[in-house]
Amino acid sequence: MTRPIELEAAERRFGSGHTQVVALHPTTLGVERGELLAIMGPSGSGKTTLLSLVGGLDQATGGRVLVEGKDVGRMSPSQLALLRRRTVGYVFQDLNLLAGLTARENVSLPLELDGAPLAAAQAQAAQALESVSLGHLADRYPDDLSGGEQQRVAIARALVGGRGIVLADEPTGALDSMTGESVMRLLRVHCDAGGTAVLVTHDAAHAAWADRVVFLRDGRVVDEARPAPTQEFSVGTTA
Amino acid sequence: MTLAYSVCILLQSPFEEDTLSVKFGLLALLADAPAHGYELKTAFERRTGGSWAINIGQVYTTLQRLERDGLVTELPSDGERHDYRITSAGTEALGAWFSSPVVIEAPPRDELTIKVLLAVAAGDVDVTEILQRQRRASIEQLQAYTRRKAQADPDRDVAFLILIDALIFRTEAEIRWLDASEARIRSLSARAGKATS
Repeated sequence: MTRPIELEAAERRFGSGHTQVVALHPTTLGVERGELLAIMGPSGSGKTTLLSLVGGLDQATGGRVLVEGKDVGRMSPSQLALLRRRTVGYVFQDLNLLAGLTARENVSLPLELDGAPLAAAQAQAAQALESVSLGHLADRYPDDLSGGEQQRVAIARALVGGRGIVLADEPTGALDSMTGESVMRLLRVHCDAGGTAVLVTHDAAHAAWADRVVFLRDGRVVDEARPAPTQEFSVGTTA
Repeated sequence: MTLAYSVCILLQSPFEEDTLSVKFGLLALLADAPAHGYELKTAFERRTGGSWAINIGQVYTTLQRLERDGLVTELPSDGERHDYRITSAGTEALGAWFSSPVVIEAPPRDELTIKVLLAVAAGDVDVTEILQRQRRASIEQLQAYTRRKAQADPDRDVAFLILIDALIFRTEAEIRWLDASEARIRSLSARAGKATS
């Protein structure tokens, strides 16, 4: 079966000659269906570049990036727009929601842009908000929601319409630890239900919700962490 | 400050916090109701989220010390059970303990800190690699904790969740320290690179 995300020696260079900067060295990496993958690394290590390549927000200068088996680098602008409306949802640290639209309208927007009838789009949006426990706040405007609530609306918008892949860039960055944890739980639920998510974060406690943590340094994958199945936690075993 | 001096500080004998925690743990339990040794042992383990097994011998030794200091007293026995109850002096001591913050005065005396300090000083060891190996291990530990946390019931498992949060935040602090150490080493070698070029 095709993996939802596949990087094949994907690289990203900026500039040329002696001023050339390599943001991402040729990187090969696959993400399985149902997997929550976290990417960690210092600033400038290439985390956001990698995520942007997968989301079609940026183009690889070498190698290939496949999303659901399709080469993102060969897509036309309209195919890329379709990819983002139907397959891949994005959650950023901030600048997520349109201030002039209610929570429900923000969530239904990608469906409406995709040509769904208004009533159907709004019904799906209401359902998506329900799934992040925000059904009761559907008619609020972003300014009337807390930071954590806004981020949950952003996740509902990223997931609405059955998009299987969520790309999240520091989604918990501005949140306190309990609120950040509720955001991570939502991503975990999405992946446990067969979805796929890639999370960029500098926060180890949030990365720990992932099945696998990839470490980037200077544009290269240098290591990865995944708990061994035998790695048991000792609490409770002494009683 | 020399490295040898740093290591000496780190190796100073640790605060006897284990003994103190058991002492006040038993007092706190006896503040609820009189109890005998075995009841105290199981209740202590339950209240600390199952993280801390104590042996029955330690419970009795602690009770004897508490009785010697007038903080608990043994109730008249029917021959089989030996119940203890807290005294007013014990209640006072417990109140004072709860209301005073815990200050960890000695620097952490752990193998990891010492290993990194010695590796930095050695010069011919790849410190970045040591830090990354540790970071991977710590993240994997954090993943294991987080899995347990995700399965816990927030209403029923409060003691367990508070305990696991303590473990998570301590591990997270260790990772932040690893990141900060690496950043220091990188900026040092960047400066050294400039100086020689």
